[in-house]
Amino acid sequence: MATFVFSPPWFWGFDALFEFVSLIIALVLAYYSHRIFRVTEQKKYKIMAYGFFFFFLALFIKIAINLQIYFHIISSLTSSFPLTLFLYAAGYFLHRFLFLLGLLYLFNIAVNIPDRRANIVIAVLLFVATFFSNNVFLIFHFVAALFLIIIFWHFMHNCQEKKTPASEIVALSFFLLLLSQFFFLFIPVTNQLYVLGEVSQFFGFLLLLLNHVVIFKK
Amino acid sequence: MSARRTKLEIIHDILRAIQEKNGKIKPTHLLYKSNLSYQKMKQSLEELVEKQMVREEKNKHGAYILITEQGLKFLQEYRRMKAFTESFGLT
Repeated sequence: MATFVFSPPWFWGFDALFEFVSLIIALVLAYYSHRIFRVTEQKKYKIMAYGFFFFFLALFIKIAINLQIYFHIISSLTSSFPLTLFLYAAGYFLHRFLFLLGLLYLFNIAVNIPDRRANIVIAVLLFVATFFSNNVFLIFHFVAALFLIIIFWHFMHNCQEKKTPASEIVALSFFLLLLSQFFFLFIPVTNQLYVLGEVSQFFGFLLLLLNHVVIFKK
Repeated sequence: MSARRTKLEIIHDILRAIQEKNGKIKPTHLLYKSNLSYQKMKQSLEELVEKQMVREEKNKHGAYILITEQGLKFLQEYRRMKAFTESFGLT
């Protein structure tokens, strides 16, 4: 049977809470990027808005499924056990695919891919990797880590170039998001790493919010 | 050679030039400070008046361009957008 829950029982609900805060931050960043896009009509802001919006959707789906599994919020989701399993599997697939799609968009900020067809091919490969793989969990976190290495590299380079506190915060936040993927990758060793992964991801998003707050206080 | 300014950058440069002169500037001085052709500046000012970001005033010393509350709001928003853009390396 497929494993859906990786969190230690004492952490149930805390992960959803952390992800809920991250989801709100992702939505705020998507909204602001889209607002700048509407003013400037520059495509890069639209790409960023999509990236964070896909994070929002991915986190929303994960929270919903996790809460259902942990606390059976909807007591009669389906009467059929196989159908319930199918719904969970489909939900987690959607979560993984949307999260990677979000990373693909941010990857496009770091690495300029001028030909749209290349992005379509990558998106199809992501679909295949997250759907048909024997070990979807590891493949998902491995691909996410790979994307985040390149994205972090871009923000690190930007940080060295600009040397501003804001660029440092953004680079650090993406370092934490990258670190979280490494923690998740090694969950098969001990599920306590799930907690570290969630905390690292949470602080990554919190730093993105901090950057936003600092900018808005100016 | 510096890259060609976007429309948004031109608006920002005009408004900032006015703000730096305590919110009030003579058109000739603005022409010099904004580094635009006369035609381009006239066109941009018409747009800014229409958007209520600046207003024109005439007195015995001549004509002046004044920045409005709307113009100041734009400058603040522009600074935020620029800080956001730079923090993510979108420049």
